[in-house]
Amino acid sequence: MSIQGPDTPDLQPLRQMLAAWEDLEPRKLIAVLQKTQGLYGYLPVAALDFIAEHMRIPEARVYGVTTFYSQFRLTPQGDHVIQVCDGTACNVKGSGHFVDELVSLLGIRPGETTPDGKITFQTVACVGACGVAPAVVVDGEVHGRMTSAALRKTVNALLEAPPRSGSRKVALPVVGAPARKARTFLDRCCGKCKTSPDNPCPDFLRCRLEGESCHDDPACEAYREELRKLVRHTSEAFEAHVFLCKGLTCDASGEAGIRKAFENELARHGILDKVEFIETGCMGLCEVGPIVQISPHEAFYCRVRAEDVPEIVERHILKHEVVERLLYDRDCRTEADIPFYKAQVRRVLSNTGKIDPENIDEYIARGGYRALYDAIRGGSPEKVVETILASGLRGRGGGGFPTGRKWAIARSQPDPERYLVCNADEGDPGAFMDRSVLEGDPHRVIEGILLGAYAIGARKAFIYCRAEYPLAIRRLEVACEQARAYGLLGKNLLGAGFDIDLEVVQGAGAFVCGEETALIASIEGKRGMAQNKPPFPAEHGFRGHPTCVNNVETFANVPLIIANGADWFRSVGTHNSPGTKIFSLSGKVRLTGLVEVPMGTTMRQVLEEIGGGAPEASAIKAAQTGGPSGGCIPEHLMNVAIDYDSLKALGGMMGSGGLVVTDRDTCMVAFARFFLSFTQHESCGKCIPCREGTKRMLEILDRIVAGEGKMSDLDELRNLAAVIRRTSACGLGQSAPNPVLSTLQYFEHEYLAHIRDLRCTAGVCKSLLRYHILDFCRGCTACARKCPVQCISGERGQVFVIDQPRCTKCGECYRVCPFNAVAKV
Amino acid sequence: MTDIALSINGIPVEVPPGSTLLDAAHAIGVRIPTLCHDPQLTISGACRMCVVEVANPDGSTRLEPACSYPARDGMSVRTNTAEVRNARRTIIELILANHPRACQTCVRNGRCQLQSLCREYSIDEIRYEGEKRCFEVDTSTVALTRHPDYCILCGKCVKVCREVQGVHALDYVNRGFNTITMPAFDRDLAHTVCVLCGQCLLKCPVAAIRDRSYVDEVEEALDDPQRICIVQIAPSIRASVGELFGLPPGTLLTNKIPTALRRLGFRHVFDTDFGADMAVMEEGHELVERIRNAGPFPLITSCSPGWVKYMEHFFPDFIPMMSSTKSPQQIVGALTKTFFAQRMGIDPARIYLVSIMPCSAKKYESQRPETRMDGGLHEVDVVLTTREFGDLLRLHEIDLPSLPDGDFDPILGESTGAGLMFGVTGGMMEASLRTVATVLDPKGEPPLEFPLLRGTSGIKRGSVIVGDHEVHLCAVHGLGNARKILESIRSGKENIHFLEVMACPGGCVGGGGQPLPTTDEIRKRRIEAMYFEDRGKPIRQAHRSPAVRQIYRDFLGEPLSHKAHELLHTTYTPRTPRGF
Ligand SMILES: Cc1cc2nc3c(=O)[nH]c(=O)nc-3n(C[C@H](O)[C@H](O)[C@H](O)COP(=O)(O)O)c2cc1C
Ligand code: SF4
Ligand code: SF4
Ligand code: SF4
Ligand code: SF4
Ligand code: SF4
Ligand code: SF4
Ligand code: FES
Ligand code: FES
Repeated sequence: MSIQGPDTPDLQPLRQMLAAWEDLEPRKLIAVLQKTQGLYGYLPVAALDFIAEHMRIPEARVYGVTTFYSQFRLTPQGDHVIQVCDGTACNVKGSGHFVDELVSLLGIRPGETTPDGKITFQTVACVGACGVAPAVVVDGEVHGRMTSAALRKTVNALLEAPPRSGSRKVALPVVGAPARKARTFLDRCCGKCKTSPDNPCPDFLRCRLEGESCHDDPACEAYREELRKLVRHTSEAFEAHVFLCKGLTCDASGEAGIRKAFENELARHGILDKVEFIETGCMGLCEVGPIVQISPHEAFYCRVRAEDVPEIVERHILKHEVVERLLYDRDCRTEADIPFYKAQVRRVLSNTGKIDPENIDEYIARGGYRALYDAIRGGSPEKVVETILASGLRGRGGGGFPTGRKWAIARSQPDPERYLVCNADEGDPGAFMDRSVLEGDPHRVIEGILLGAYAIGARKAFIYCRAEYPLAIRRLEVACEQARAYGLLGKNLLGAGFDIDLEVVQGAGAFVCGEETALIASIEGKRGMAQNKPPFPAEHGFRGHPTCVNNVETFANVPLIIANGADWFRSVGTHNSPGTKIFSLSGKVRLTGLVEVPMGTTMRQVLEEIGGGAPEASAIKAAQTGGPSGGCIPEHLMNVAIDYDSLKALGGMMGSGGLVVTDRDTCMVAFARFFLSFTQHESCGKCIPCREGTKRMLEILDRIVAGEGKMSDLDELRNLAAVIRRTSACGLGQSAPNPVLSTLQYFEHEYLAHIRDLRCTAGVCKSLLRYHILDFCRGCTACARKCPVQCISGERGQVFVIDQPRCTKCGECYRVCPFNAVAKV
Repeated sequence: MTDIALSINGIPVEVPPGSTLLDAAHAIGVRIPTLCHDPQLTISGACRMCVVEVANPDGSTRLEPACSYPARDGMSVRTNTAEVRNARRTIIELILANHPRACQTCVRNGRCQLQSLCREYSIDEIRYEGEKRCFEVDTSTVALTRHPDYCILCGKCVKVCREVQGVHALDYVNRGFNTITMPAFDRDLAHTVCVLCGQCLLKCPVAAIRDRSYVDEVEEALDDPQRICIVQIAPSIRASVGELFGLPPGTLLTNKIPTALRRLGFRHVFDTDFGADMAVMEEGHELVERIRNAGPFPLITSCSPGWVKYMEHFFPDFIPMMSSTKSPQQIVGALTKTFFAQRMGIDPARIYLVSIMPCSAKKYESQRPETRMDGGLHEVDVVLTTREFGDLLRLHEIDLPSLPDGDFDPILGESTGAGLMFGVTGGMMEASLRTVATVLDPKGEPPLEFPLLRGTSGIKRGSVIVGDHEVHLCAVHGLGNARKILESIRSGKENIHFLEVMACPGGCVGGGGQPLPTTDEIRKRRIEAMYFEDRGKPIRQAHRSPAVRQIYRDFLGEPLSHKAHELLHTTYTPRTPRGF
């Protein structure tokens, strides 16, 4: 009965890896398991036994941890791995069909591998490419805007490819080597400059940016001025600056080939060295990606393909004229002209999409690390806490707890060993704000963390980032390394006697690990099971010491507040929710992407002015905030101001910033069921109401969408929801019923339609759905040719018929019929 | 610090700082139901049965778990509102939705916490039906069986095994609805570091961990005229078995037991206390020898099989320090099938020796290959726990408390207060010192009681002067405490000559085979009864026992003789998997 791997692995590589590991404490168990899985492609039991013995950790614990995190596998994977995103945005855009399709195409269920070992097929919860939903990941590469046809083609290609041999590893998105600047701020102007990576000059920032150097020499200042221009991309040394969006969404829609095309084209014209490329983080308007911006002219080119590059080079770079056909529209040349951006207030995102995130100089040149510098050199920890308190900054991770208050609590603890954690677990399927900030402006987050650590007196900070974000993890690691080299991280920071160590910890696939106590358990190398509060982490957290956990966006706000003051921060937003908030807008709106607006902006403004309203010929039904913990705001309440309290009053929740829009093709019962199945799957399993209650709620919803609901089910749902909400141990359980309660509140009629009339008005619930070909069918055969199970028959030119028992309700015929002769009933 | 004042159900109550709402409720006689809470273990707040309503400053309310929520000044708590009752009832119903609901055929019928809660909350229908977890039953060990389908995931087995015993054989596995508690890699319990102490069974509120029952086998043997059924019964049971018949913990039924055993059909009724007296002689002389030879120290006791197995998995480097003396149960077994068989002129192969033990690890001990006799016989054929003993009695319509008094058989049923002391923590050591002191200082007047070895503290230390020697003593119970001491011995921080380890908290009075429930309070009552019984014994030193003297005179020669070594000593072996 015990689990045995299919083969006996060679333990030598593992032995070597562990022997070389310097700081191998038991809390590194998860990292060790990740590396081991990297070695073998899965976790052979013999390897786990070896790890237990080597690290002196009880075997039962090793197994407990291994089975908790969904990243870990005890059996090998296929040569190729196809992951269908089952996150909210993708789900709303129909990724469910892909699952059915793959099941029928491959003959296996999600999580399984084809018998020939070729393909493993999995579902994943949000890969952060919601802007180009639906997304499918093939061997680590994200493919956005997937269609059934493209998927079938991809799968068939994989099936036909010869089998791979040797170790099977999943390729992570490959990132180019960090763009090495020829010159950096670290370089010395002359022999008088004493700064070095090992011993950085404490006045370094001021010297490089403002020219207040230890020595007064015009030549040195000229040298530094040129450096500043280079870093700010204003240097005359280049004829043009090409900003390429390397955000995941643009990359997923084809950015990869564009740089190559540029380089080829520029080389052909012999001006490759006259043009500077800046690969930035997500520019925000994912819907129209891939995006390329070029100065002079700051032209904002949309949906650029490699074929467009010669024209861009020819006209824009050589002749300095704008290629109009690639602009957003005729009236919008630059980013600032586009309504999507106009209605936003981009503070936290001010650098994202504008700088090369792998170059610390660019951050510094735009004022980065000045807040830290001033706070440490001229301020005091108390002052930082005071300023944050005065700013009224509330945690952006969902709860909205005042950050200053949390820091003050931690600061007031008698225990001097304190910790700070940046929560970059962003598990909400349908949210990608934190990812974009981490990938686009990692130093801002790090500066915020350093300020926080300074404020509460922590000497060790962690960034807990979900493993599904390999690029963000890499960017953070690169950024930490650079900050260390600049003397901005490590011992005796800026010569002010403050030591701080920052460690990037990878999650391993568990939504609940975004909950702070579970997150701390996970950093401790344990199963991410939530703990009772009180005691709160700020009193009793990592290893029992005071620990502050804050969200990425919270930290990203901190340097801005310290640099500009609390009043500046309060100058936008509402009294109780000052500042801005980033949302990842996805689902059924015209423009999806990353949006930063002042708190208090109405939902309607966001959806209409920024998102451009519903896609053609549809109508928005509701907006869901807060993901699986949140609720939906129906169309008639769209004038609600977006802030913590107003959303709560409507049964919604600010959440971390996922904003998914649904339209008339979304069945709200199925939508609620989708969220519940997510939370049910992600429950840590500790407490009964959450573990058992969400399961029973889900079973009731399953019955309803299958047309087997009873009227009493609604009461049962309400009772279970109330008990789960009130008695669960952590936020996951406490908020799990929200999507059901809020849809019951605003869309009870849809539930009733399913139960009483056996009808799904949105035509989503398959059991209640029939496709039917209407009398005016022209007999064009389009549907019959597309039907994957060939259940449509008829004579050309006559009315076709669907053989109902065989129909799998894939909806293909409905989509392809040029005459709209296929109806959902 | 001053007390905290709060109100529960409108009743004012003051409790010391650090108290939980559960403590506060208890203080005023409000009994809140709990499932996952246990005062011996860390708080997890997993089951949510204990939720109570707490008033917020703004007039709204919230539900909080009483077992973990700290009492604070000025709090206003209601423990029994309609919402609270509904929440608790719903939680029970949710458990039932994922439970076999097989009370009639369940060993826990009548002593199951889930069952009692169903009654208390008048559960009269099954409200939720749906998918149930489904795992295999684990019958791999000789002592315990695991039935995960019955598990309600209170987590107490995991915690007692990890926190109290330091074994960590079990953990939570999987996530969400598929969560379960099980050994590493879904291995059979028999192939793990589990020491079969049975503490997890004592904690389990339902029937997810059970005795592997040998009642049927014993019945069969008793019915078989070819077999000569003999029984021995361990010391601590006389202070606990009454609980199975509704008597308060600590009721001594010493004299009723022989009568009952004879009524069951046993031909000879022996007392494990006699084996314990013998163990004192052998182990005591090992100590004397080590003192005379100046080592190796510490001498570590070996009468607790849970401890022995733990040592073999976790601390095999201590094997050379272990006393080689067998446990009292095995000594009685070995002497029954040699000395007694010869004396009676019966073929030892016909003897069927049943041990009644407070202990699940004894089942394992009786099956160890090291305890096989020449010719392959087991010294002890089968072990029943106290609970199974109760089952057997009931099956035979024997109402233990109302039986007439009776006596154990001569010699192998004769014992002193020393042997009795094996049932409590520190007792084995106390019993040994009573004899060792006399051996080392024959003229002295050694004390009979050693208060420093009494009491419930997990690690008891001190030193005594015997003869010209100062002997450093340490007695620990609960394997977690053993780990602490062994680690500090290992690192050279500790200078101990004589170390007693009992696997179970409280010693065998708290053994894994004892009646349910076994709580700290109940352990204490059983311990007091044992001390009481010892004081009333005419002889309280093993070496003064006429039976012991007779065995040495007629059969073994002297302590640690060649023959004694052959029959009464054993060996140990490092075991896999290695424990950490
Ligand atoms: C199930 C669950 C998931 C969560 N996921 C996240 C997350 O991914 N990122 C995050 O910052 N906070 C998350 N939170 C909130 C955190 O527990 C915590 O409140 C937050 O990190 C505090 O930071 P803030 O005060 O800066 O918002 C989650 C909470 C729960 C209950
Ligand atoms: S509410 Fe859910 S996720 Fe949170 S502790 Fe309970 S079971 Fe775990
Ligand atoms: S008839 Fe239409 S909906 Fe049914 S299986 Fe064929 S294409 Fe899909
Ligand atoms: S464990 Fe308890 S509730 Fe469950 S079947 Fe047994 S007696 Fe009944
Ligand atoms: S019997 Fe003892 S060692 Fe084995 S699992 Fe139970 S508590 Fe742990
Ligand atoms: S086996 Fe028993 S003690 Fe262990 S978690 Fe399950 S119900 Fe609780
Ligand atoms: S202390 Fe007693 S009951 Fe516990 S394992 Fe040892 S002998 Fe058995
Ligand atoms: S990428 Fe699929 S929901 Fe986010
Ligand atoms: S007894 Fe309090 S939560 Fe289980």
